[in-house]
Amino acid sequence: MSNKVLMMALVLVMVVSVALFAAEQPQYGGTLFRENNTDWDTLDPAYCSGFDAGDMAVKIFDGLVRFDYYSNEIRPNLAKNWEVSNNNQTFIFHLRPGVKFHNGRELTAADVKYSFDRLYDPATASPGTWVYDMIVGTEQALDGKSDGLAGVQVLDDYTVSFELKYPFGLFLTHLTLPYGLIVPREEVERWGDRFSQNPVGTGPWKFVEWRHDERLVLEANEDYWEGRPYLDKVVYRVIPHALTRIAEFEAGNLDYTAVPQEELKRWTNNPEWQPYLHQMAELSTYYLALNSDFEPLNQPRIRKAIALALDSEQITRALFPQYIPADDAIPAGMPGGLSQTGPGYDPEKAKELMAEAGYPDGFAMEIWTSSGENSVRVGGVLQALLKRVGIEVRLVKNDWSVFFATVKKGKAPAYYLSWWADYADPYNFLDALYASEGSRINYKNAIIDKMLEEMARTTSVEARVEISKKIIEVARQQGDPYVWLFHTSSTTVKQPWIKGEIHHQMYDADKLVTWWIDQEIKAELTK
Amino acid sequence: MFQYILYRLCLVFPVLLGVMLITFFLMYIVPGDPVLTMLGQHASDESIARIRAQLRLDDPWYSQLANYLLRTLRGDLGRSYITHIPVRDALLQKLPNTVRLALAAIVVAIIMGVTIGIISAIYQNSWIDYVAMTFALLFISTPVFWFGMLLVFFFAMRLGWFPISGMGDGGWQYLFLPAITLGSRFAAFLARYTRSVMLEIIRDDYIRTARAKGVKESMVVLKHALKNVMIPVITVIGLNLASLLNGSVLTESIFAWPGFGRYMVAAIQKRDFQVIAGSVLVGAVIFIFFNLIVDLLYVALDPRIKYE
Repeated sequence: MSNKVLMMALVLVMVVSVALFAAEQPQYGGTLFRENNTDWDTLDPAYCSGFDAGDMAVKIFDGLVRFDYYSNEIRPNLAKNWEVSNNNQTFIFHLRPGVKFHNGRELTAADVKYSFDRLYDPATASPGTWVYDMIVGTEQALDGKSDGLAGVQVLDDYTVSFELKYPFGLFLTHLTLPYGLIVPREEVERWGDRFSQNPVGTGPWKFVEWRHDERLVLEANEDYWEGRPYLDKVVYRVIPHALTRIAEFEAGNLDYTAVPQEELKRWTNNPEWQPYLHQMAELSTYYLALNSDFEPLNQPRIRKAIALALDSEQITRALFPQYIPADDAIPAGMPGGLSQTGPGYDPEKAKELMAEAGYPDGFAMEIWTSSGENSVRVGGVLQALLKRVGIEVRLVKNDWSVFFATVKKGKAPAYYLSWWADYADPYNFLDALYASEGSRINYKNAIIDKMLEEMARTTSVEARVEISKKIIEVARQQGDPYVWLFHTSSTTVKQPWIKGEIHHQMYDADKLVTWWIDQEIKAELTK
Repeated sequence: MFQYILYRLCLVFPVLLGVMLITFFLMYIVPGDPVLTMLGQHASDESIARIRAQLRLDDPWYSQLANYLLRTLRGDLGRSYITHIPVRDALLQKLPNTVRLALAAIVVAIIMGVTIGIISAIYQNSWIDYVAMTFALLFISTPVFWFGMLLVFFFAMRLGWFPISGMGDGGWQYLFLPAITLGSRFAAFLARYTRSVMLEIIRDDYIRTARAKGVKESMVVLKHALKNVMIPVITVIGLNLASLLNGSVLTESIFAWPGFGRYMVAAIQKRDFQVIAGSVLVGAVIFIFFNLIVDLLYVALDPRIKYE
């Protein structure tokens, strides 16, 4: 068959598939069975510092805006629309009338103000105060010098305004984060510390039951302002072990799960399951950080040499063939992702640079990793590759708490770590990694700081991507303090009866309103 | 006897105080910070300082210790720094699950271990003894994790006789595989231990006398030997039951069993001091209680032992 005929056949198959898919009408009803590898730390939005908690909170609560279900763009949620003025410093949100909390009370602008005031109430001790520190009055509120945030004002029952200290182009994006979910005052006051055990929001799912370390049950909110979810009920089971999770899936007790690394071949090679497998690039970047507080890592030539001695393609292929080798900080599938070329792999050049820097015979260094299995494996490969250019690496492995405390204090000379997106924008990665303030590797670059400031001010994604490219280039020319290793991807599998838009890159984008169960297929396959 | 029990109960208080002091100082000096776990990579120096102050983690050690001791004396085990759930509530939820699993595992271990041990001793150096002791060695050397997965594969996935994981509605079928996994290793140990104790006892003079008097062999074993075998065996069972009640994180993880072990290990990883302190204290109480029960059982089994 010629290529042309093959291409036409493929196009025909695609058209037929699309037509069939389009013809599929979502069905209401059924219970979805899912899993989580750990118990949720909380369901109270004010304490949602982890991905698991945030992922669950967005199902029970709504924010002013949310991520689109089909892309990483921002969509109205509790706010039907908004106005931005004063050079991105004033945001006025118009709320949807008639939105009700699960306790039946209508949401008003006072609830929005209360939720943000609560976040900055010193008594709350929320870990999420970094998210909205651009709002006027946050310091005074945290110091207990004001009653609530001066920058959040109720204009009328359905209008609320936010005044920012400085122009911040990503304010709407920050509002998608779980800390910005709206809670009802009377329920928070009624339950106090136990609000997390009895969450009440406006979201598409009502809380039913949470047996810690065992299961969490949600039921559809029939009165959801956007229309009730297709599913009636969702049961999440806490199953810590990956092999147990996949066994439960195989037995038909779970509808969707991640395929563990050690099981990948078995599943991807099985034609029966291939239509139901899905691989998705995750918004993460794994790297080796080099701390300028330590000799000779403070020398740009040495940092360049280390980057040239480590081949991200080789490392990724050897350890995690399903992952994507990294060239820079920005993951694939995000604006500005995978658009650059990396420093390349050139051990000879690395040796030359080391000789120029005064280390012709190499040197010794420590690399810190957490004691997680994958971290130790990566550490071993880094050690072996660096030995080839004369760098003797001593791996220092510690449990996460000790490892991260050392990294945070800037006491680790080099460390292997990752950054996972809070939201799909290059600013989120570059600010966390390159900003001078709070740098864990004593990296101070005034040019990059200036560009990060520009990035934060603009509302244009294109402009931010352009600036991000410049930042990456400047860092590279001046001896990047990071060696980029890989971006992760996940492979998931669903039961044949699970339909709809079920794959979301952002952890807090999935409100489970686009999932549905084809009852006929389920009945056919499970009888 | 009553005086002895009272004396032992009085001893509980200094022991528990010691446990509390050791736990406190260990957690105080161990590196790591629960606030960093809460804040993650977004932790700024200001937010760390603010939350540490709010949680009173920056108070002097003696002030923290005094707070901890006074609070515990009032019966308040505190709240988790991470989840804000009272430790007492969490323990009340997890402990019954762990008790169920541990008791089931110990029953498995006693039925299998003691029976095999006695049979092995009676048929010493026969093929029965060799097979039993080979299996015992195999079970002692088998990692719990691997054995658990093997049971899941055959009995849950292939044969479909039991559920794969979880507690479901609390039915016995959910308990079966975790109990076998947790109990098998101890059963193997118990088989070897019972065998060696039995071998000593069946050579004793009173057993020889019983046989010389024409007592049936089954009666010799069950009436005369078994009672004496059980004295050292019960010590081992009592101490192991206390260990099993303190959780078995591997079995709980494989079978998604919401028990005490997983709860405590997660707390240690997150440096959630209140949870660690509360769990260790409750664990110590369990240990002390079972030690006392074992000591009292001696009296029931051996009339020569009297506690004054």
